[in-house]
Amino acid sequence: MKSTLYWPGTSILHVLDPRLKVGGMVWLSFLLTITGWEGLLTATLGLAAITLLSRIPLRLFRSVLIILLWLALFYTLVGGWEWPGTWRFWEGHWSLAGLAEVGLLLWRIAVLFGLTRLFAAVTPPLEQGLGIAYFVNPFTRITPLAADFALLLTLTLRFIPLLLEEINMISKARAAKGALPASWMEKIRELANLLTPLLLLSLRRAEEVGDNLLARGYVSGRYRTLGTREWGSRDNWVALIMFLAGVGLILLRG
Amino acid sequence: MNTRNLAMTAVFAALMCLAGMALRWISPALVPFSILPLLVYLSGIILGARYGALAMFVYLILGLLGLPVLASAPFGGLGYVLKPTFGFLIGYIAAAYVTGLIYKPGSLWRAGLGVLAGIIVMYLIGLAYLYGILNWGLHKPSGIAAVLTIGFFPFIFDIIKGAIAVIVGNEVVKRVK
Repeated sequence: MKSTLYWPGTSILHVLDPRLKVGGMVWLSFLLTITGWEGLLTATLGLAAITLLSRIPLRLFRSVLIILLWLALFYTLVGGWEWPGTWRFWEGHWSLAGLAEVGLLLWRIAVLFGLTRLFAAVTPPLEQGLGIAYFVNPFTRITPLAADFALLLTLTLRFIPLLLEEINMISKARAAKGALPASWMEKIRELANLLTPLLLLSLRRAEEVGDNLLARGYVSGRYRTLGTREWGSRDNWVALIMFLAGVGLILLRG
Repeated sequence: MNTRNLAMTAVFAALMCLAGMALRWISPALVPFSILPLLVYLSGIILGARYGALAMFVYLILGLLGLPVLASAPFGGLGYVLKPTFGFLIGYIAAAYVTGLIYKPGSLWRAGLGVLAGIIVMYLIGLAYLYGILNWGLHKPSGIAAVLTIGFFPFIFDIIKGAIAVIVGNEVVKRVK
């Protein structure tokens, strides 16, 4: 998948097993939503340390910063400004308690977003997807539908680069015709005209893949995911550190 | 599950992932607004209720577990649940299901009815989530009327997107069947 989100590198974060990175990110993200300010402070320092360790440029976080500013504007207005239960909001005032609550929420969101952005920067998209699909595996013992779901996740990831090629081809062909639509009505008509061939091409691809799977003897509920890297002792150590960090976040719930 | 339907579901989930990132790559002259809701209604029309909802579920799971496929930064991860608009992402699943449930292949008015019902369900879930974030997340008592006001303008745009989905979806179903 063509992506500007992944930043190639050789740091320890880049070479960890994607299953560990996916599992660790979900584990820590969940605990970050419940930890107290002490936990957030520790997590912020930890995030800064592993960002330095990953050797990715800080400008990769610019998009996160922009969305955080928008969220800050929204949450500060709705959470920090108090007015009587009428529509006359101009008669309101700033609430310190409200602003403190908004501040804590935004801090939490900032750490969570920062962690996710770092994860995306050090893990290629395909590895992320395979890491996610791996966690569906245990459920296949409960229901064969889980195996189909794992296949669905894997197929989705395989389709993304294929469809991206189709979209690029269609949009380039349209751009080459020149005279791009100017008015909104023309843009909407143009979009509708682009969507129909894209959907028909995509569905044809899906039919081919479905037929190929059947031709190779695929039986519903029999799919198993594969890892992309060997799990090493380094992964064991990092898993232990992540587990302890999570326990720390629970203890610092305040 | 039917293997061919599974592949088609994967195609729609992949299209959702690409649509989430589309505005970063494609000229605004060609794609002037987020086409995610458009694909939600299309998935209901083309795949039907069950597989349409499944495609949306796959998209949501991939996004929540960190794959950078959601429309705005950080483009994925569990942190998204703290965004006021996250309810609309949950609403996608229900909207695709309801659209597919009402639609009958080839019927333009059933497509319109299905999409309209889908939009309403998506807004019900999206605005209920926003209401919950304001009242229980931020402890800010907010009336239902205030929340509805916030959601009113995007609703008009979604009606336009819904109309495109009705025409395109019905056309694609006719050509595929």
